[in-house]
Amino acid sequence: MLSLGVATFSSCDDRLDLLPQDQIAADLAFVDERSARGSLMGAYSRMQDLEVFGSMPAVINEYMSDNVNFAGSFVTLQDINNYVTRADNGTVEGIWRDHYRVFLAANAVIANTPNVEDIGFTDEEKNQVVAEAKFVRAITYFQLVNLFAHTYTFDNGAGLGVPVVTEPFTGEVTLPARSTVAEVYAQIIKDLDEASTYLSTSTDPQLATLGAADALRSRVYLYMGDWAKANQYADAVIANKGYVLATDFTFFGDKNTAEHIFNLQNSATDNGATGSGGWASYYNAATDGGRGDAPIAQAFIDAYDATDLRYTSLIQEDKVDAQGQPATFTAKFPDGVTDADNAPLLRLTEVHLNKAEALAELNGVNQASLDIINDLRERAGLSLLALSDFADKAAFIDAILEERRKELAFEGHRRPDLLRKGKDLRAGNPDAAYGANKTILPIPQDEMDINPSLVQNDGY
Amino acid sequence: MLISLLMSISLFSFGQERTVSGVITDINGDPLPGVAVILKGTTQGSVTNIEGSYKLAVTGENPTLVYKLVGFVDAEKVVGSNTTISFSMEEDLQQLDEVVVIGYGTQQDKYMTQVVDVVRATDIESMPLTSTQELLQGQAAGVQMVSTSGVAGSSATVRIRGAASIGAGNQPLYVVDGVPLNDGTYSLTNGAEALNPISDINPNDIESVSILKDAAAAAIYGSRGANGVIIITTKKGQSGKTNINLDYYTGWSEPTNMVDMMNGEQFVEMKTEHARAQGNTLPTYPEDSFDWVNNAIRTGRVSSYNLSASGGNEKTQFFMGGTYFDQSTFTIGNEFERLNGRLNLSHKISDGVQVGTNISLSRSVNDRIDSDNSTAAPLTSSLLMPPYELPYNEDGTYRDTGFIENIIALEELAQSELITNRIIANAFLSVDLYKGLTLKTDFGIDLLNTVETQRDPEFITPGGTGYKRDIKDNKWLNTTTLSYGKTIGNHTFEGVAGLSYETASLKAIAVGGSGFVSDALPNVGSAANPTTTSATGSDWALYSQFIRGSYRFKDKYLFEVSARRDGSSRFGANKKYGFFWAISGGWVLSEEAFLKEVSWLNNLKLSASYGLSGNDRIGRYDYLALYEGGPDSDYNGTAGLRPTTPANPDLGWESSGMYDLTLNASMFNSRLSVEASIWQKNTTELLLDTPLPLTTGFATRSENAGEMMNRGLDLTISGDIIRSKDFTWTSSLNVGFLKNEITSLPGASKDAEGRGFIAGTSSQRAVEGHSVNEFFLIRYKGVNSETGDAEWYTKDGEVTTTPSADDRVMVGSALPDFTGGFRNNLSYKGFDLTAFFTFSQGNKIFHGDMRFSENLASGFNKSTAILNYWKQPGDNAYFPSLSSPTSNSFAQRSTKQLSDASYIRLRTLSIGYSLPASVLDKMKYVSRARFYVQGTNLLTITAYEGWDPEANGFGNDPLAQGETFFTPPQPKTIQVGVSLGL
Repeated sequence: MLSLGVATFSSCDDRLDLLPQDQIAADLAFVDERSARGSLMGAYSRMQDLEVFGSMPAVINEYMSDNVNFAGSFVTLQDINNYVTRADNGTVEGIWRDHYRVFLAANAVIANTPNVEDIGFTDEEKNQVVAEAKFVRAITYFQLVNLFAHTYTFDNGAGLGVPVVTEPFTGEVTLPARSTVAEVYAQIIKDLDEASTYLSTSTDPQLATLGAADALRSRVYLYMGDWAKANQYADAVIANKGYVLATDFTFFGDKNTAEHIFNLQNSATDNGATGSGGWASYYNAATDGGRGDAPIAQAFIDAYDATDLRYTSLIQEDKVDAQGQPATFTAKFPDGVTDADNAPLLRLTEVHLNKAEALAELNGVNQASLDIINDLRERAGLSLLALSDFADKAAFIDAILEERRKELAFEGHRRPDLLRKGKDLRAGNPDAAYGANKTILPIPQDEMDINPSLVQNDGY
Repeated sequence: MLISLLMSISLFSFGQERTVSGVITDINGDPLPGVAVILKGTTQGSVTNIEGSYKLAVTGENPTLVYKLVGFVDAEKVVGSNTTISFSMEEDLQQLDEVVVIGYGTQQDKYMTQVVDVVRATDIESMPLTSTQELLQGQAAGVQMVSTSGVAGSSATVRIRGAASIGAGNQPLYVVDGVPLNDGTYSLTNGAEALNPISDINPNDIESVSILKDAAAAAIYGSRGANGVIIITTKKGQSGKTNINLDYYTGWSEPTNMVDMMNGEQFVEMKTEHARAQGNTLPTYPEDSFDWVNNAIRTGRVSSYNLSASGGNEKTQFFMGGTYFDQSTFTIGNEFERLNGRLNLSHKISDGVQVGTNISLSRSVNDRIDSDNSTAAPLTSSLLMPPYELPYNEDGTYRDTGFIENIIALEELAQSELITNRIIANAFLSVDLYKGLTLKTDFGIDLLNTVETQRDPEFITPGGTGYKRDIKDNKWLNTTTLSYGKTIGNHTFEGVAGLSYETASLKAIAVGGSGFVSDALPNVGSAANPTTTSATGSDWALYSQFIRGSYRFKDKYLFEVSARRDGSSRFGANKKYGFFWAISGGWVLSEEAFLKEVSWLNNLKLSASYGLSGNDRIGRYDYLALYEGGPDSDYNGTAGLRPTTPANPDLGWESSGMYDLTLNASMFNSRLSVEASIWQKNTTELLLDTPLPLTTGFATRSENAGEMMNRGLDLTISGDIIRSKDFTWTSSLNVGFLKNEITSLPGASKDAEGRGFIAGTSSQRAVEGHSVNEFFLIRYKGVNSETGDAEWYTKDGEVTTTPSADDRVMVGSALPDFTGGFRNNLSYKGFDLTAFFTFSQGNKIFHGDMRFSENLASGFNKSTAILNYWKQPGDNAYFPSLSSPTSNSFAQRSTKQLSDASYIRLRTLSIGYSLPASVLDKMKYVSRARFYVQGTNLLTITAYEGWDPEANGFGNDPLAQGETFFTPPQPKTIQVGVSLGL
């Protein structure tokens, strides 16, 4: 036993070199095609987080406007809902943090992939990997800037946006200042333009494709009020016969259809299920595995025509919300148990609505826009409208926006759609008025404290 | 031994031989077995038997006999012409010559320069403990123990002389019979802090607990010594009669305090009035009412059965014991069961060669509940549940209550269980190589296995979900030491040198699934959709060399040095090895001529030390930049990698340099003794998760950044107030004063005043120039009696109804100014009474639960406190006017939810009766019998506004102390028991 004891100590020093078994050192993350593609998948997976495209920003966009009620228990969300958010709001910090996590992952792919030495990994393939990462970066910046800054149309992009970080963090801490909204938009467009050269022309909605880049460019230009370009990129998508408008409303949940352009995939083992929740969490009653925090607002229910299939075929009735009150919930995200509903980030209906709106802005009351609206109304089981139904251009655009609201409800469009058109988020509430301080989120206090280059939004 | 035997034989030829006999008793007249009777100046001797009698042949001129027994004052008797010498030995209540277990050895208390507090079995045998950690509460100055909650098996925060670290954990190192314990997190947190790492140690097995407080004592544990070390030594057998002990107790418990919530009528009325006053749509509520709180609590029960046997002969000694412990706490669904077995064995192969082993087996089954921030937690949910909700439908089936879960159904239908199996064992061989020189090698293991099972039924989650995780944390180590001791004239040397290699491997397997066709299928294998399939692992290793040497001159001047070099796998190539050391000296003034004649002074010693010890408690690979794979990193079934950790190749130890000056005095025939230490601990290169700008994509990075200072005064005063044949009263007070200050935080965020800080929670932060747990909140003023608005202060002290985050200021610390214990033991004939108080002064607690129970805007149930709302000018109301906008913001985070948590608590009150010898003599088998009643937490004096001033919802998180969120309070218990010696 003594000799055993002594033997123990020979070569002990070597035994101190222990490597992790469940992670790999960063220098192994870009050594070949397999690891580089894995790192790209990692960037997509960061988008799945609750605070990115896992529903939280979308739910906040709905809370802050008029589609749903707040019936929850999170004080941070209650404050956002009531426009009394403080800069130390934990949910806001989570959103900020997780968006920059996406940028880190995407930036690493963009910076490191061209240098991977792997004979089987062609330049063409590398370019496509980089292009997908640029799309990831663009769509994520677009969401972030619209949460933390006033819309582009508020002051033509002159206001403060968010810090644009395009290099991966390698140890040197920098303290970036906020770029203007216009600069953030310019970066988004630059990424999408560069990406579109190399993105796949496939219509697979599970990954970033040229169609997805076009659909997003259509939305970006729409937000900027550049109607011609919004229309141009909408046309680029519509021209692709791989995308087909759905004929009914059964394409939500875990499905991928020709309606979908970019449909972020979630599974029962992804972040929604294993993290703090997914699309179904807020939009389903507790009896269906959700939290019951975001029932549909009565005024919005009343706004639907009684026979509107977008309502009647997409609701869960006779439920109870988190405060114990009778409630109706949307049925777009039914999987409360495993939170595996996909995130329908870009779909053809929106592109058609972009086009309708852009043309109306360009041409006033017009047949092409009306045709789009009537196609959607027909799908919803509603009567068709005529040009003569609209008094003027403003009324026409309002009608298009109302269709947009009903089509895209609960998917996170409502707040930016109101604000970019200069409309109040809720009627009769000065805090919810267009341009009011707390219609945009504060830069997180912790981030303000550590980065003196940052300037806080007014009112926080 | 052989030599001495030969010598003693040769001595027989001298002088005239005669025989002396006698009976030795204690002051009560009870016989004392095991007293060593030695003929002074020889090695001849005898030992008293069970009746206390001895017989010894004496020789030589003017022989003198010396009587020795641990715990008694040595006695010398000149034989003269006596043939019988009988007397009663005086108990040495201060036990100055006691042997104290220290790191890698033992020392005589009298000659120690280390500061080590000892809790012995005798100190606690009159107090049945439900867990080992209770041993640490209020028993030693400067040792702060705060329970996390009243949930079974929950951990406690134990701190020896303050928090030495911000980011690397403040728990001391626990060492059981030479085996440093695994103390990771092995269970899901269920909304609250993780479970207690030492809950598997059987309190009945403990012989002594040594608390290593200063650097002189702890530096020999090197990179793990900075938070102090707790050495637990288990009971060993002794040669002679076999002793059998049987202990049983049973008890009842209820919460120490609960909050009063509204009933259905009060709730509906107040919500309706509020909606009306605010001009909102009036809500519709059922007219039902149900008292959820009183259906979530019950009378808890506890029972413990312990049987042990110890004994042996000259060559072999044993201790064996077993305990069955069964507890159901006062919260529904929370049960804990523990089974412990132990065998301690030692055997002399020959003179100077000894082998031994100490083996402990345990199994605990914890039927867990959620607590704190969880809607499935019985207490939390019962308090939040709208009171109009009923648990049952009209047909008797469970009602789905929505977001706040129906805890009565949950308790019946859902499963949450943690089973822990653990083997802690060591085996050693020691060989006396030469006079005074001993080689010892010791192999130890701590094999820990937890199996955690959770199963939600269809009722809770459609289709049901299941989860099982199996964790094995297997440690082994070898320690080989060479020790030496020698006295030459006035010079005494002692020393130990050793090598130690320790490694542990953690393996976890987890499976989860959803979609069960029936609740009758408990296992994950029956789930349609696997949601978790995980197997993970990690290892760490520590390789160390250490040495300690002490020198003593004339038993007056004491000197000691110790050093340790640790190599750890946790640190980067640049910082793999650390060197730790301590130096200490002592002066036994009472041995000096000028004090020798002071008759009332029995002992006076002054000692001082300085040393450096370390803290390595960070993640196992924090120095590497890492990407992770796995199910979170994949996308759409394609394997992925994503960055998780930024690199820091220079990551190294955290070092604590500690000064200590200690005075020990005992006087008046050892009836009064005082120990006072002043100390200061400077921690540098703080291991810290330094915040990064989130724009980097990381929230924090492990760094050595910052410095912190703790200083304090530990004071223990003990006295034998009354010491007579029938009546004794001993009393002991210990207090630890503590001041904590962060002296530097480079790289941290800066607050508006330019001070570096680390935000621990939304309510507290560690701030340069202040303590590590400084509450940072908006100040609440109260309800304006004229306007009915709730009011707060702005940063500048102006009154506002709409404070913002910029109005937060520092409003007190979660750390107490002092803590301690006060113990009184009285005995009168066969009766004994113990009253043990613990106290804490100057700490604050943020009770975040009030943000919910007083938030009228939410749909949850409310505290009845807010029924006292403002109705008309002049009202001094608790809650603002219902029409005031502040009725919606009243519960916002502020000092409204902060209160002073100073308290004095009667921790233990016990009354016992032991059968007198006269009765026992008539009983054939019983040699000792004590019956007792004990109450815990019967009385609490506090101004605290939350539930229980002894709660700490975030547990050990160094940056989140003193906060609760519906944290279950401590139980108040009554126990009755019997302890028998056979």
